[in-house]
Amino acid sequence: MFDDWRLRLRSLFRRECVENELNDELRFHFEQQVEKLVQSGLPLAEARRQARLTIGTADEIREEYRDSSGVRFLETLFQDVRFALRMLRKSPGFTAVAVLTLALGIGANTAIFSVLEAQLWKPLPFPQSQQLVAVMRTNIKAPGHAGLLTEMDFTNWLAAAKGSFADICAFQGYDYHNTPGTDAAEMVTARPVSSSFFETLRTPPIIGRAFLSSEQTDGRDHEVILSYPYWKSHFALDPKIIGRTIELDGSVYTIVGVAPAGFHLEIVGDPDMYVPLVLARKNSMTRSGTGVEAVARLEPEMSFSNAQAEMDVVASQLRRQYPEGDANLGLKVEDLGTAFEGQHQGLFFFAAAAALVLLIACANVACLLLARGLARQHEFAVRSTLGAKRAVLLRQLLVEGALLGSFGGALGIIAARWGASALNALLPEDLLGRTVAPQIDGRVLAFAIAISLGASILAALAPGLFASRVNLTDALRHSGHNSSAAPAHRRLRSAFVIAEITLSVALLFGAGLFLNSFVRLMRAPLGFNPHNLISLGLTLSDKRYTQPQNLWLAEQQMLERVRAVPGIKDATFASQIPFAGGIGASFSIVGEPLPPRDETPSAILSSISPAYFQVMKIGLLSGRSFSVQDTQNSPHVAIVNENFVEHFLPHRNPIGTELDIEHIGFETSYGNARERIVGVVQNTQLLGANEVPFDFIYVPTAQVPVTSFNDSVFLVASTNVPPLSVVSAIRHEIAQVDKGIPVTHVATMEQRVSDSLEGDRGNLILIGAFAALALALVAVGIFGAIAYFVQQRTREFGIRLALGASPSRVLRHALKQSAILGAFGIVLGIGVSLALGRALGSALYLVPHQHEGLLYDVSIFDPLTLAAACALLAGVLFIASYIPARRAMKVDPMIALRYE
Amino acid sequence: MGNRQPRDLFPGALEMMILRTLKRQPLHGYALAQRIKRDSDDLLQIEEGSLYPALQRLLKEGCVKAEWGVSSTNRRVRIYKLTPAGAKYLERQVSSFEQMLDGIARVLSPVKS
Repeated sequence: MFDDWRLRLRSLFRRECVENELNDELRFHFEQQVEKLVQSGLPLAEARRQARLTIGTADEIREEYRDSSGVRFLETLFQDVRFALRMLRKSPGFTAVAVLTLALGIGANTAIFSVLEAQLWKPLPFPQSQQLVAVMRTNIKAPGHAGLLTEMDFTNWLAAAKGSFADICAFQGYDYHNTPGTDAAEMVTARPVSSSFFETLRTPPIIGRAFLSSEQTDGRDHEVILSYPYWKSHFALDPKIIGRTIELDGSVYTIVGVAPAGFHLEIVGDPDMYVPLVLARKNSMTRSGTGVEAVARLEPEMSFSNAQAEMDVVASQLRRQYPEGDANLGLKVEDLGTAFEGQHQGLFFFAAAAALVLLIACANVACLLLARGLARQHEFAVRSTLGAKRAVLLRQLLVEGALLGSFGGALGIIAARWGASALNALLPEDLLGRTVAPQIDGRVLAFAIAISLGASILAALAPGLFASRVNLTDALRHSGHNSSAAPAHRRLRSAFVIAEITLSVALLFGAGLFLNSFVRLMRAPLGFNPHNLISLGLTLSDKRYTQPQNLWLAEQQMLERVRAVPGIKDATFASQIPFAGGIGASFSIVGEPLPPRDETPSAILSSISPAYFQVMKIGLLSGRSFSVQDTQNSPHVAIVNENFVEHFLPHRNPIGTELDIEHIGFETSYGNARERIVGVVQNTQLLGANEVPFDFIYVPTAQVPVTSFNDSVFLVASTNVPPLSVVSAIRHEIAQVDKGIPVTHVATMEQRVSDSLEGDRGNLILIGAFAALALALVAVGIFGAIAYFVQQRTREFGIRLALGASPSRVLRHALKQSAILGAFGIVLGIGVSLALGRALGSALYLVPHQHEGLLYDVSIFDPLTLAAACALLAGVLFIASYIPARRAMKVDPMIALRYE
Repeated sequence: MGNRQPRDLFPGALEMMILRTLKRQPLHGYALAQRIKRDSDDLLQIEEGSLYPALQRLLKEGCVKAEWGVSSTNRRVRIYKLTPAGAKYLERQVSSFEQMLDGIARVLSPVKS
């Protein structure tokens, strides 16, 4: 096979050399033959004649020879390419427009594809990553909902499932710690991981060691493994770091290792350091310990389905063993590469939008090629008379198309290189499950080449078929203009323009929906007033704050000092604030039957200072707010939001209802206190405007310490000056109370609200860019169509003008052409848009209680948006056709009549 | 092997004879033609017009390989050699050819007797 191709290529590229060789061979044969004949007695001349007769003409052999060496195809292709290049060079304007058009479409698609490829098909950066699985807890009554394992689950089936897994590890959510920095205290993030963590991922620390299993016990867990970035930024990659200590929350930790550069698992994130996961803490022996996430490595021959089958057995054993809490327990094994992926539906949506752009580009290039084909009719007719077959002409045209596609593709790939990284930055995090940089790798390149060729063939086929069908007599008689082929030609061209308009309507409508949704998002009720609010994150992880008395004191001091800062009206602490995420807690309503453990309701729990609702301007709907009278010794109280009442207390007076709140922080410090509801407040958004309101329970910091759920808490101050101007004063006051408290995440509440819209803004920019591309392409398309129409009819317009038609009437005639195309396209486009909307509908929307989706509060059939999209398109079509149509008006009858 | 009109006995016959002749010894094109003619007692005239294209096809398929050598008259000539693949191909062709001959003979013999 290789030899074969070498031979073919040799005969192609070194043709002269090969032909010389053949000549030599034949001449030798000829001379031998002559010699033989002379020896048999013939005179030389006669011998030569006979020899020539038997051998045949050298050309004949050569032709055969070339045919049989299989170079004919490549050779003609080469010829076609050379010819096509010459033709393209002859009309640089046409070539530039066609290449740029294709480059835009191909570039957009390649960029999207490279992002998709990085998200979907890049392996995880660990050896034999296909063996890695995530193991999750499910509810067999509510499949599809996967959650965290309890620590008990982990220890229990760690023993039970040895058969399926070569290794298994667990880790918990971020811990926040403070560490003395150079100027001020710093916050560091740490992930508690089990000792098997690095081994399971088969990626040992680059220096030092992994944790030992003995370090997983309380009191012996004061070791850390640094992340590479932290090692770099804080220790300048010092290799002698092992054995040195670092102070976290006033305790001394020994550095035992450093994780390698590029160590990144999506579900683990990028913590500054890793600490040992301590599984044997007091609470973890109950079934309701803190959740852990688990990752396992399958035995080399183990398949997902076998592992899942084993997990099913383990789960059924656990169900029998713990019939109270785990009656519905299921365990689920999932490919780690896909288990925690973002919502790719959205990505595919944008990929589809990009594909529409490419289709429009194809239609545009097809129009250009059609016009060109007509202009070259004479050329084709001549070639055809000289014996060129239709297939040869068609091949020539397809090669020209493929060349355009190749140039467009090359440009497109270059554009996609930076387009992809821009896209990656633009797309919201929930669309991108993985933080992998998109690259133009082999697969992306293959995709780009495939769509380039596909698009160019798609664009060139119809015009090619059309142009290669030459009507000799006609074409030769008329020199290309006004030939009888024109009506069919015009129909084809109109079809392309209409197709472009149709697709553009769909894209514009889509962009309109996103715009509409974005505007509504910006106006969405937040439940609080973000104006003139500054928020700061404080990490109160120091040992001394585990004593509620100390914490309370520091809290009061800080609030007092901050309130005294000029420009600040009031200040409050809160364990969670809107637009900064939140942690849920399980609860039960006293006096109502206890649901099974898996169905225990949960709500977002926030511990707040009494001033919170006032500072945030969250309206109190009934009952009372917290006050200084709510102290540690007074009856425990809670305030819930509207949504909570609607969901859990629909038929009773919420005020006075008692709740049992179950949370690890509660049980340890306070026992199972009962909270009596004393008030109901307005709903507030927790993650972003685009969400279904969560259920909220608020408790006072006096009764439930603000650090109960998370050491990182918020201080929010309302100001009557620009909020950012008081930040340094607040920092100063906090340092006055305790220099060791790191201040992080400083942002105005308005900024937080705006940041939460970043993803939607990205979506809007992306779809808007596609729509703008489509609009530009369709404008070029209609411009070309009308310009061509006018040019074709110059003579007719000349006659009309000569016969007394007013110029404006001629203009109207030309514009009518565009109006017909536009009307057809827009009507079809509306149909296509609505059909697409029906098909995509639910995929684009917010899924109730899932807090994800692309569009907010706008109907996929929104008539106003559709009308606006059509109007915009009609306007652009009018302008794009007015310019060439005006030329019709200015036709000089004398010139026009001579025009031929 | 292409669907061109064969100028020899039947499609593939020329190739078979070339391979068979080359099996004995490597030859250049002219000698090859002479040898075939001689071996067939001048019954078969090899047309040069089909010899060289046939050689080229065989080269392409890897049944023969060509090397530059020097002829008895001290001229640079291309010498064709049988490759192992060519030998195998020849074997297959010969056996199927013999089968065919056998079949033809059986069909023809009752008529003769």
